[in-house]
Amino acid sequence: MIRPTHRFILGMTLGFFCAVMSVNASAQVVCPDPPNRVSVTVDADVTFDPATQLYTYRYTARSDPGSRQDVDGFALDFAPPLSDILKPQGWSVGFFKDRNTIDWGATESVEEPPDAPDTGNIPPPKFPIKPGEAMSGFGFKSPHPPGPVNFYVTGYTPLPSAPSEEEAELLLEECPQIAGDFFALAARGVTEGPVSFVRVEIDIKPGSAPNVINLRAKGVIPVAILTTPTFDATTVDAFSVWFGPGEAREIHQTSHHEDVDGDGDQDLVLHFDTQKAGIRCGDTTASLTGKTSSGQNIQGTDAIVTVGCK
Amino acid sequence: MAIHLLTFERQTMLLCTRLCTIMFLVMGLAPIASAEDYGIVVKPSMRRSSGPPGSLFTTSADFTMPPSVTSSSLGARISRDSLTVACIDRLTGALIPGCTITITPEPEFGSGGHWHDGERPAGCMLKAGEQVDLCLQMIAPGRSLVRTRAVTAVTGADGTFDVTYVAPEVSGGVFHFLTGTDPQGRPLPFAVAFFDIRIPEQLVALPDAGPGFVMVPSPGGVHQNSFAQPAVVDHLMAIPDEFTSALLERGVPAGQIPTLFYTSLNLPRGGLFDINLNWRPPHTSHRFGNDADLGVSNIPEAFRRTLARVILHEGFHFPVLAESPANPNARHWHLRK
Repeated sequence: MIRPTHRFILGMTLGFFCAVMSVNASAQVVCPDPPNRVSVTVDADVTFDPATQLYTYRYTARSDPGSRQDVDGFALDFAPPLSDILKPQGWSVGFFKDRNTIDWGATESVEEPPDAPDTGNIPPPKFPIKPGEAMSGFGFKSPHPPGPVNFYVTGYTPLPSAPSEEEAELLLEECPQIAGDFFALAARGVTEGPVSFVRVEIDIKPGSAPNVINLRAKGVIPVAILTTPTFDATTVDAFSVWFGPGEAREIHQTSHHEDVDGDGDQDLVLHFDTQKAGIRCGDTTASLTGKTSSGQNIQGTDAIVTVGCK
Repeated sequence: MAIHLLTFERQTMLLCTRLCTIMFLVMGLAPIASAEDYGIVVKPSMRRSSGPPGSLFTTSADFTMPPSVTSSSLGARISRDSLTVACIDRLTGALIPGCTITITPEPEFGSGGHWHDGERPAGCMLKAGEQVDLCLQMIAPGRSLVRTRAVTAVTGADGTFDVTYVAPEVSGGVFHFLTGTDPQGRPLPFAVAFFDIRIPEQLVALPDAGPGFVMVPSPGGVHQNSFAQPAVVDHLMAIPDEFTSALLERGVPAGQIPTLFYTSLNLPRGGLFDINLNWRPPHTSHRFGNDADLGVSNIPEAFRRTLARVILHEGFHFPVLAESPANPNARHWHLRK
């Protein structure tokens, strides 16, 4: 039996608790989904025309049935120049500034009813790649042969919105998963595309196999560029080297020569901050790009296994 | 052109104001200055000298420091700098203990891109042992903004005392007038420390208009609202170019391509951008030169997907839509680079 006094105190306590909870709930920012809730594979079909000395690249993007958004953007790194660019119906082509990345966007939008209120947002795409579907029609010609290149895809989601100026800006502070440029937020993978790099052999974590990368680690990842009969790794400009999707720079701003593969010549060993390398859970390869002292672009890729994902 | 003239007039007014302030002090305070040869001098505390005790001290010192950031988690910091105040015998250079000196801050009128000037926070001077909490209402937007305070201290046995200046969130110039008396109570000639509160990056103005865009002046012309980092300005100017090209390629007639209206960017020296003229947000992040607002009310929905893609191509973050239920025309996309 609860006395009336106790019931009153209990009621007041519960009421206070509920009030506090509701205040906290109202102050909490609800973060919208970032535009990367998609899983996409990109198949490349490459042919070479000896008459023109041009490679023709054709791409088919397939959205996994488990994708939670319609794909509305597809971008690809490439070595310039490109020509005869193709695009699917309702899609446009553009290029990211300050880097060699071509971008196809599903820019044609679903027509809203004339009496629908304008919210200021972006409407859905008219020709997206829906989950479980594939789309062809992306392509171009290039003088460069195929090699591994990164691709990037975005999923359609309305722009994050807020009812006021202050709350709109706070969204970016409170929701880091939606704050970032295209390359920070897009889902990505690797396909074949035009490359002008000299391919070099690299060894991620020399001396260990498999090359396990603990994504929670705050340490460094050693990467060796191997000297081979056709390539002298000691000619690489260590300051020009980027590693991983995050394009991490050499953490010590230096490098050292060492025979890591025991073949009697000097290889180049560099170290990169694990977090800055931008490797994501499930990535199976990581690449390094850079230049030699004579300006030749180089690229190397090695297998990795990621851990520390949960 | 009208805006340029306006800016010129204001800059002229600003210069006059600054000169007048100093003239006023010279004219007003000089007659009551001591016949003795004691004076007030100041120097940054970090600056050490192997010379005589009074070397490196001057009667007018300039400091440059970034604004504090407490009303945003982005770049949050308390910006502070220490200075040493001394009472000096100007003939011998000896430092004099027992002088009572008051430091009074005064915001420089119209500086930092603010043409409104009521109750502008001037930052806060802390004496030795005082905690920064004392300053929070003087540097940051809050429920009860306290504009500023004067502090008074007595020079110690070495003839000096140290104070720490905590910068406000608002950029701009802040004079600190140092006045006081010698140990016998006779007035001392004044000294001035000037703090230029600005972000380290040099911001540049987006032109008032260009191909495909217009920079909308702040309502009533109370702010210089068009400044950003040079790279940001370049990319903001490139967006309308690419937007126009993309729409032309889609077959949109040139006459139907809308002009882009940029509204708030940043102030010339960065810092808090108080669009409501109360020295408080709502702009929390337009203070580092990376942010811009783009009006979308005049952009047909059919073109917005193209515009969003172009914005990404120029390296900006995915936009955030700031709705404005009270005024649909104020609806805009918040851009950040």
